[in-house]
Amino acid sequence: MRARQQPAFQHPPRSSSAGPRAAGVVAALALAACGSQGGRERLVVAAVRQPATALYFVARESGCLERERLDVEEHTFELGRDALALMRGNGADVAIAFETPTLRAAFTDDRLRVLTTLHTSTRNTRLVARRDRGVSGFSSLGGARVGLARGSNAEFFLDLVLRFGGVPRSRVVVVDLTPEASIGALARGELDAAVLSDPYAARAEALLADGARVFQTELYTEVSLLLTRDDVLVAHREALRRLVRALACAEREARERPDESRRSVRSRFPELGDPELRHQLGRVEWRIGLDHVTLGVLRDESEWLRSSGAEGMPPALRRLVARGLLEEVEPEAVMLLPTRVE
Amino acid sequence: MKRLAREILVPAAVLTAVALAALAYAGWESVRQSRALERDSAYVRRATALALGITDAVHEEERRVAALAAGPGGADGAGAARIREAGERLEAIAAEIASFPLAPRAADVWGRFLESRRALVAVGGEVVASARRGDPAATSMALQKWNLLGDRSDRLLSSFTAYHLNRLDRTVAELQRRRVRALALAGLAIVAGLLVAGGFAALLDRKVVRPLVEMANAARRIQATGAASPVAGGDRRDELGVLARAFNDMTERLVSANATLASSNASLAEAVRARQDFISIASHELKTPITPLVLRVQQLGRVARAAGEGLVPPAQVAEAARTLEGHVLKLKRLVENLLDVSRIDSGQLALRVEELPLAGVIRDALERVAEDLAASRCEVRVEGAADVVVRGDRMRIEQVLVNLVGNAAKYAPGGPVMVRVAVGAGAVEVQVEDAGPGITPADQQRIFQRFERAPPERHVTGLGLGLYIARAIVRAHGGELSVRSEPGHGATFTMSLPREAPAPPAPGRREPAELGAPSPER
Repeated sequence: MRARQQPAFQHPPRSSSAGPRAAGVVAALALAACGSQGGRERLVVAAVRQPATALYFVARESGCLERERLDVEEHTFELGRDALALMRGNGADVAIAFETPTLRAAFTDDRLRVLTTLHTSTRNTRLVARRDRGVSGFSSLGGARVGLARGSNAEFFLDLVLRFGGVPRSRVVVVDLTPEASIGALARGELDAAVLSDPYAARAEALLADGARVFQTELYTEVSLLLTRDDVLVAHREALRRLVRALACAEREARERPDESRRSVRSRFPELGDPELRHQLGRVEWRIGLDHVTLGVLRDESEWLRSSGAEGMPPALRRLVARGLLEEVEPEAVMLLPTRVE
Repeated sequence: MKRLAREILVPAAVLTAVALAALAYAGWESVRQSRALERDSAYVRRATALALGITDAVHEEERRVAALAAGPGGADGAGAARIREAGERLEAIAAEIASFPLAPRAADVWGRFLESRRALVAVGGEVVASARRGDPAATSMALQKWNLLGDRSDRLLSSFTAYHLNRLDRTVAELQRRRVRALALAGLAIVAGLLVAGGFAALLDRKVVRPLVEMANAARRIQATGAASPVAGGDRRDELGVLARAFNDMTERLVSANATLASSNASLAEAVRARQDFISIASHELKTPITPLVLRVQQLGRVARAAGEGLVPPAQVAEAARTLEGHVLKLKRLVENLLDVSRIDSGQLALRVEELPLAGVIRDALERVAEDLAASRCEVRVEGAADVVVRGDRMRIEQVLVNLVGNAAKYAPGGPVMVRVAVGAGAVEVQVEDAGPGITPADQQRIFQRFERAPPERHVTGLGLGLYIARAIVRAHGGELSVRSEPGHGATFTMSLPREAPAPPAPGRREPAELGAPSPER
C-alpha cells in the first residue's frame, strides 16, 4: 500500500458550491427522514484473503459498510478463482478476483460485470524459486517444475515471464496447486519454483529464507476487481452503490490514516506481524477506479486467453466493465476516455 | 397606522428584504461558481494540453526507438541522440506537469506514469545497448519489453487525459444542471413571487380594501335610508378597527340625532296643531257665550227701558241682570281656564300654599256647583273630611273639586255623588265617585289630555280642559289625580295630596312632564 501525494488542488465547482452542498445536506436529511435511505441493504460477498484485496476488509473493519447501512454476508477464499465460482453459481452477489480468473470466466459467462478495481500492483505476484535448483532468472526456468494455481493470474504471469525469458512453455512443468500447497511443495523440494502472491509468496520466502530466490517484473500489472452479475446489478443496484461508496470511503481512510487502516485489517491476517503486513501492503496500491491500464490489462490477457485456446469467446470489454455505478458514486475514479474519443 | 404597518407593511418589507437578500446571494453565488468553473475549465484546458503534449513526445520517442532498432545504422550515435532529444523534450513537459497543481487522482496516475517511465527508460537503454552490440535477437526482445512498458505508459497517459476530459464533461454537465436548476429556480421564484404577491393582494384586500369598501357602502346606505348601518371589524385591534368603531359610533350618533330631530319636529308639529286646535276651540267656545250674552244685554236694555216706563216690574229687570251675570261668569270661567292652560304650559302656575281644612274646601266647592248638582238632580254625600287639614292653594284645590264634582253632575245626572276623604301615611286622598256610565280604559288614558272629552258623542259642552288643568294643579302640589272606572259602573276620581305641600314652583316655563300629562275636561 503506497501513500500517494496530495498536491494542491482546487475542487471542481460541483463540490465547491456551498449552496448546493447545503441543499444536498437538507435533501439527504429529508430523504433520511422519509426513510427512503434508511432501509438496510444486504449483500453476499465472496472475498479473497490477500493484502492486495484487503481494501474490502478496511471498508468493513473501519465502519464504512456500516455507515452505508449495508449488511454483508462474507465468504472468504484463498483465490479469487474460487470466490468467482461461488458468485457464478449464484452463491454470492459480489466477488473479488484478479483479472485472469475474471477474464477466463467472462469467456463463457456474459453475466459478469466489473464494477471497479481494488488494487494494482507490479510487484505482488512473483516467482519464488529454490536457490539450490539453479534458477537465476526467468530465462533459466527451462525444465523447472513450477507450482501455480491454474485459472489464476499466476498462469498469465508465468507465460509472460517465459516469453520474455525466451523459454518455451513446453519446457516448463506446471504443477496445479493451491498457493498453500505450493508453499509446502516448494519447501519439501517437490517444486523448483512457484508463482505466488502475498501473503503466500512472503510465507514461501520466509520458509526458504536464504534458499529462496525471488523474481518479479515490471512487465506484469495485476489488478483485483470487484465483480458482480448483470442480474444483481439490476436487482441490487442500491446495495452495490453502497458497497462501492463504502470502498471509496475505505480508500480515503487508507490514504489519510494508513496505519489505522492497516491495523484495522490485522485480524484478517493473524499469521502476519505488523511489520510483515506493512511490508506486503507496500507492494500493492489500493485504489478504486477504472482506467485504461485496467482496460489494457484485460485486453492483453483476453488476447492471451484467446490465443491459448481458452474455451468461449473474448468478452466485449466495454460491456464487461460497467462504469456507470462507479461514475455515480465516485466519478473522478473513472478515467476512461469517452467512447467517441477512444 | 402602526398596527396595520406591523401586520402588512412590516411583512412586506421583510419579504422584500429577504427577496433582495436572496437575489444578492444568488448573484454572489453565481459569480463565485462562475469563477470556480472558470478556474476548473482553465485547469482542465491546461492539463489536457500538457497530456496531449507529453503523449506526442512519448510517441515521438517511440518512433525514434523503433527506427533505431529497425534501421541498419541503428547503433550509430545520431539515432541515440534523437532518442535523447525526444526524451529531453518529454522530461521538459514532465517537469512542467510536476509544477502543475494536479487533482489527487490525476496526480496518482501521473506518479504511476513516472514509475512506468523509469522502467521504460531502463528498457530503452537495453534496446540501444543491444542495437549497438548488433544483437538483433536481444534487440528484438528488448524492443518487445519496451513496447509492453510503452503500452502501459500510453494507457496511463490515456487515463490521465481521460480524467481531464471526463472532468470537462462533468463540468459541462454541471453547467447544464445549473442552467436547468437556475431556470427551475427562476420559474419557482416567479411562481412563488406571484403567489406571495397574490397573497399580499388578498391580505390587503381583506385587511384594508374590503373594510373601506364596506364603510363606503354603509355610508351610502345611511345616506339613502337614514337608518343605522354598522360595519363589521369593530373587534379588530388595528387602525381599521379604530376606524370601524369610530364609524359605527358616528353613524349611531347621527341616526340618533336624526331620530331626536324627527321626534322634535313631530312634537313641534303636534304643538302647532294643538295650538291651532286650541285657538280654533277657544275662538268657538268664546264665541258661543258671547252671542247669548249680547242678546241678554239687549234684553236687559229693553227690560230696563220698559221698567223705566213702568211697563215691567223691577223684579224682571233683576232677573234679566242675574241671567246676564250667569253668562258673564261662564265666560269668565272659560277665560280663566284658558289662562290656566297657558300658565300650565308656560310653567307659570303659581300656588299660594296654606293649611287648609279640607271639609271647608269641599263645602265651598259643593256650594259653587250646587246649581249644577240641583239641575242634574244629583245628591252629594261627603265622608271622612272632618278635621283633615292639607297644605295647598285653597282656590286651586277647590277648583279641582269643583271640576270633579261638576263632571259627576254633568256625566251622571240623577245619580248619587260620593265625596270621600281618606288619610294615609303620607297622603290625603279625596275620592269623587259617581254612578254614571263609566269610562272605557282607552278613554281613561285620553281624558286627562287637553281638549279631550269623554265620551265625545255626548252632548256635553266644554273645552275639554277641566281634567287637564285639575291634574296639573294636583301635580303642582306634588300629588296625583287618577281615575278608576268600568263601563256601566260609574267612575271614581282620586285626588292624592301629600301631607306636606311642595315648595312653590320656581318662576319660568316648566316642562309638561313635571306637571303631568294634559287632561281633557270630562
